Parts: sequence; structure tokens; C-alpha cells
Amino acid sequence: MSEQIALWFLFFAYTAVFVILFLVVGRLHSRASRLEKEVEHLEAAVSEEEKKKA
Amino acid sequence: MRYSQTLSNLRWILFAVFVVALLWSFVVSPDDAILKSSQRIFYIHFGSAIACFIAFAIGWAAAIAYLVKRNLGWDRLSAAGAEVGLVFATCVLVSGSIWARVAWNTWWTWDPRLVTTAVLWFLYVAYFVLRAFFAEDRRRQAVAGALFSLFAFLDVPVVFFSVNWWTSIHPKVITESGINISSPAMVTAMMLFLVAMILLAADLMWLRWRQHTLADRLEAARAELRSY
Repeated sequence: MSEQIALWFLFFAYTAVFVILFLVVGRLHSRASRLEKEVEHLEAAVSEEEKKKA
Repeated sequence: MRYSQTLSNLRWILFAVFVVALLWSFVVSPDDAILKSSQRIFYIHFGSAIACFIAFAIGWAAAIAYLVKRNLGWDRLSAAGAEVGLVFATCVLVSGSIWARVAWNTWWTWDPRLVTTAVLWFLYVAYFVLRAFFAEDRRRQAVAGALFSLFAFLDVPVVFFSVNWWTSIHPKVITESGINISSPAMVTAMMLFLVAMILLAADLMWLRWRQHTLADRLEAARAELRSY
């Protein structure tokens, strides 16, 4: 019986670790996407400044 | 847009594989006769080990590509491979240590497989120390990282073949005659976790490559602004 409980405990521990991992990785990807847009804006602003100087 | 769609698809496939792997290993796969349910640590351990080798191999190949082409894109891939490989190497050491406590009644023993894996872990920690040392000069950082990566990767085949070259108590899962596990359900669980770990490594490498690319683009824009 205790073996069965240990197995379920292990299953939920594994599941919790992987769910947390997916959430963290997903969040990091969405942050990278947001940053990509911000860097694009910055690059556009820099090239515009360059054109003005020229 | 095309990349983000591919990435999103990859993540859903990864999620599905993990769900199937977890259910299979806990519902279908039987307990080990001696180690009982704790034997399931092995699925994570094996998958992490192979994912670690693949990530380091990609990092090593990208390091060669950088030294030939001198394109920083390859250096970013090389760094991403080393980072993800190091994360999985840590998983291998931790899961292996827990498994060893149950199977061998010790957290650590000076077995060739364990020692060579620990050496591999320290080599890649040194790789990041070296990269941090040259952080001021991006080109020098890339060259030093690539050269060190060529050297550090030499330990990967040593880890893999250590159980054949020296006397070891570490189980030999992959032998010349195939996979050394009698239960087909256990082999399936092992393979499912292997696929899941490789997909996870690919996703993490993609993430780190994106972040390195962003850092380089940001630095280039800042340098441009400073020149005004």
C-alpha cells in the first residue's frame, strides 16, 4: 500500500515539475518575442536617426 | 511569423510527448523487481544524458562552423548548445545520484562513468567562465569559446565509452547487442522520455539562441547610438 502511495507521489511530483517547466519556458519565449519587437523599434529609430544625419 | 509558428507547433508536440511519456511510465510500465517504483528515475536520467550529448555535439559543430566562417550566428548556437547541455548534464548528475542512493546505497562513488560526467560538467562550467572573461570583446569571446568547446567536447565520447573502457558498476543500457532492458514496456517508456528530452533540449536551445541574437542586436544598436 505504501508502495502505491509512493508511486502516486512520484507521478504528481514529476507532473508538477514538468508543468512548471513548460510554464517557465513558455513565459521566457513570450518575453523573447516582446523583446524582439522592442529591439526592432530601436533599430528602426537608429536607422532613422542615421538618415536624418545623412 | 514562420519561426514562431514552427516553435509553437514544436512546443505542443513536446507537451503531448511528455504527457504520453508520463502516463506510460507510471501506468503501463511495470515496477522493477528490485528497485520498485524508484527505477522510474532512470527514464529521466537516460533521456537527459542523450539530450546532453546531442546539445554538446551541436555546440561543438557550431564552434567549428564559427572558426571556419567567423559568423557570430554560429557562436550564438555554440553557446546555446553548451548552456542547454550543461543544464541536462546537471539533471544527469542529480538524477543519477538519487538513483545511486536507492540502488547502490550511496549518493556518489568514484566510478569511471560518474567521474567522467563530473569532469564534463566542470569543463563546461569553465567554458562559461572563459566566455565571461572575454565579455568585453565579442569576437575574442567567440574565438576563445569555440577553441575551448573543441577541447571540452573530447570528454563526451569518453563519458559514453567509459563503461566499456574501464571496470564500472554503472549499468550498461546500450550494448553491442542492443538495449539491455528485458521489459518492452520499460523500453517504450525510456524511448518516450528520450524523445521528450531531445525536443525539450531543442526548444531550450532555440530560446537561448533567440536571446543571444537579441543581446547582440541590442549591443549593435547601442554601439550605433554611442557613435553619434
